[in-house]
Amino acid sequence: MREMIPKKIAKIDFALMGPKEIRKLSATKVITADTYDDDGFPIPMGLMDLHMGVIEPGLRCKTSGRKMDEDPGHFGHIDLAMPVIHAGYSKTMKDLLNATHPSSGRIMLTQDRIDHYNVQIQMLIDSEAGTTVKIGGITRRAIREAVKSKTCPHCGEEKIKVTLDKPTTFREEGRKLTPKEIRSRMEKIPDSDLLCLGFNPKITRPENMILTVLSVPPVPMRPSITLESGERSEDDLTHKLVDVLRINQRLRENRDAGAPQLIVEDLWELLQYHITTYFDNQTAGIPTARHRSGRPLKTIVQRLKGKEGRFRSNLSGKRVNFSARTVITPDPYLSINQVGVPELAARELTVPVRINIHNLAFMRNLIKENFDPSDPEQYIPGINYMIRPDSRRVKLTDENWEFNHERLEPGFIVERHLMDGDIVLFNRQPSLHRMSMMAHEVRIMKGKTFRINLCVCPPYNADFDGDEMNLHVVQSEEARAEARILMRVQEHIRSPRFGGAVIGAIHDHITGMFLLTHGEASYDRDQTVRILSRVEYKKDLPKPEYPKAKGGPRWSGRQIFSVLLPDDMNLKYNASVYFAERTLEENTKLDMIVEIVNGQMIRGPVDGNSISAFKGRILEDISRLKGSDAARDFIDKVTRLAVGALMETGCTTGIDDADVPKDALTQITVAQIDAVKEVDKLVNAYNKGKLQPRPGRSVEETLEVEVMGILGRVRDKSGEIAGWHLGMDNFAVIMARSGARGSMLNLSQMAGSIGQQAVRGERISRGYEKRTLSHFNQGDLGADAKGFVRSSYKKGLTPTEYFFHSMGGREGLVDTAVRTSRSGYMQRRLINALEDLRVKYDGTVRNTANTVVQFTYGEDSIDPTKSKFGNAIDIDRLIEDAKGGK
Amino acid sequence: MNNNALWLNKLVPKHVLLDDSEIEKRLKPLQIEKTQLPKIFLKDPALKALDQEAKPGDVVEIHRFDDHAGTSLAYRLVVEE
Repeated sequence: MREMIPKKIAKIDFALMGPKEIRKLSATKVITADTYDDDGFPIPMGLMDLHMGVIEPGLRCKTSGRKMDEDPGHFGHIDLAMPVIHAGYSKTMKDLLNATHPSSGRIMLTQDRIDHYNVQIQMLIDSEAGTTVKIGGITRRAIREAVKSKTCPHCGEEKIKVTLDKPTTFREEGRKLTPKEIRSRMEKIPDSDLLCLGFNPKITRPENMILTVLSVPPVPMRPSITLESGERSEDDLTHKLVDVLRINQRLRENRDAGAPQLIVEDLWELLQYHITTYFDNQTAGIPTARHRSGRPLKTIVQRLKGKEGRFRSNLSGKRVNFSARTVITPDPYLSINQVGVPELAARELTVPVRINIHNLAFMRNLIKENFDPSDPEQYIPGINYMIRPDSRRVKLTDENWEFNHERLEPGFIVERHLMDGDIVLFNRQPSLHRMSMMAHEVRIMKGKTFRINLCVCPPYNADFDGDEMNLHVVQSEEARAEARILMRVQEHIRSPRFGGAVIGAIHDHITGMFLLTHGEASYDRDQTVRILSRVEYKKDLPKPEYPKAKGGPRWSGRQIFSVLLPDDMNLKYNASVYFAERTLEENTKLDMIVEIVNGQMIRGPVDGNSISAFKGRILEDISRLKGSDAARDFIDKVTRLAVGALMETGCTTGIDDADVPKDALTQITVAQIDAVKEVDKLVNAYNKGKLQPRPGRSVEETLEVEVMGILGRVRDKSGEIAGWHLGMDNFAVIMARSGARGSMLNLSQMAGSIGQQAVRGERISRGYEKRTLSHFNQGDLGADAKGFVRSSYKKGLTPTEYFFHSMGGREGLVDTAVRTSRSGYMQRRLINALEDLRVKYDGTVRNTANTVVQFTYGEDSIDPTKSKFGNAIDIDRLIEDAKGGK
Repeated sequence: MNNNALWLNKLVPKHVLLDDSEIEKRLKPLQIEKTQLPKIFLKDPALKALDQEAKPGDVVEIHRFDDHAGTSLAYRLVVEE
């Protein structure tokens, strides 16, 4: 390809091409609208002329003599019978027409003003700092000033205003201006006036905005495709050019034959339409050109613009090799650093390995094992291709492997299948933050899905309802090192967003650890060994906490968990199950406070506040103080320990977990009736005009606030009543309180009462005139009429309640739908604005122009990933340590 | 700093005009030219409230304070527009 770049580019001018340049660039003139003759051979001077490049193998380009794929093609041209406006410049043309006078062709400014602007522009051009934007600002001012003046200072005549009917019709006092006239007006403008109109006359002139010659893009840019039926189908651009040629031909014939003015004008306008849509088929104000099937044609602008356009789809983003995509499924026995890859994918994805004396025998064995396996059940990576030192590729097949595996020697490169321990990048879209793409170590597995540890679901925002993820195999040694050091999952346990862990125990892991460690839970020798075997515990068992228990010594769950803790850990904090409304003493008695001394848990349960992402204190300490290796190990082992514990105790939930005794239900009903009565009282007072407004509120607002308060309280109260009867022997409660999944509010809505429904933060008020539904009286402001749901999910809702509930639910759905699209666009713009910023080695933040954006990263040089929730120093902890640790 | 009311607002950081030798001293470790600095408009109220009159090409040192990050210094090149 080198020979195709004969010169080094020093400078590019973006400007309009005039007819001269277009003809100079052209390899051929195009005159016939036909493409191929009956033999399927391109017609000379047709749209597929061989001078413009070839798209069929075997043929040679008549301009450069090159074959298909070697030749990018050459431009051609069409001579237009009549000049036509380029719709993209109609606005500039309007400005120019209004800023100049048709008879003198001069800009309507005094020579003084022209000089004034010229000096400014010339200074900017000379200063190197002059950007197009800055020059544009000056020319815009010059034009605005010129447009304002009524008479021309040069010829003294008055000026008639030209209006633009988008996209291409210019009028002067209602009379249409033909492109020919406009062109001659543009030609009249002297070079000396062009600078302050925004044109550099050395490069281009304004009359080039009116086309007399149309450039025809090379054939390889608009290849025709042959359908299976043998029929040829042309590219949209070719179709459009055919239209242009056809009308151009008719226009020329009619004009030369002296046809009536009307017919010529109609054809001229039609030609204008075709050329306008040839550039942009979404031009406002004209109908879109369509294919015979009714599909809108994709013309030049459509090829470039938008998400599917050339820029965003082919230049900013590209398809890649060495990647795979499939459904994901969970596997708690994988480390968070690993990813399970199906054999099928692993045999397709390869890593290039250079052969040396150390790996020669190994690679030979891989080849042998692959074509002649000693154990067909076992996965042995194979080799797809051998690359010889002369860079010839040899595909290994059943026939040639024996011969080739003998020839393998140092200096060869082989493309080896994926094997255990290879490092790959794993990604789930949308890639919203850096944790959306992390490096994993490969584990080859049976099956057809990617397997991941559940703890990495939150950063990817993945679940297993059919989610698919992408995998990329890193190809170079440097990239592998970078991926391992910077991108491995364990390096992303802590998030730069808020300085805490984003990867931690979730769902079952928390339930499992809670069940293992809560209260007096203890395990006999068998159970203890069974649970500990899952974390590959190799030391002696700790001294049993209950050595004299009936049926042999028993170990407490806390002892088992303590195995995972570093010896120097000392912590004291409230567990997730802590009752905020009760006193410290009560909580201590109920074992709701966690205390760890020298790496031994002495009290409290392990729950969400210990090991979960975002708020797990133990996880937080290990990941911040002991490093990523220790944190990864801890998370992996917690996962396994939790599964082990769940195997011993079991955990299930069902509809009967929302059962509450009858008298509790009565209590709830009574509380609701009382509340509704209270609401009625308020409504009565309001109706009589006796309600006192609160400060800063109207009477209506006061009523709403009070009623919302009362109904909110009764929902809380029924939740409380239900909560009393739902004890810690209830798995749903255990999950909610320990922070595994769900909340007590969810439970009380199932067991007690759903409560007030809201739309836009207010009680439901829309619907019929002065009422929400025809089931109520007009003007009814009571609880039931405005969306209070007394029932529970378990009991079921009344029809009116159901309707109100659906209203509230719909608002939620609409909100999320609107939010995702809007925040997506905001994020895109933010990222585009920040993508070239980087922290340099001197600690400054700079962009690609090397200008300083921040003199110190974040003004304080703190890596938020290593901070404690945004603080550089955990001062509380330092004080504790200074006081002697505890 | 003079007694201009602008400086009484706690959200307005202290601005100091640097002389040529100081500019040199500040820019040397950053290995940049003046033009690579962030800019500040000459018409910026903070520049108008300074004791000396700033002119395009001057560099101001801004002493920012933030509860979280503490004091930090920033430099801006005075530009006309």
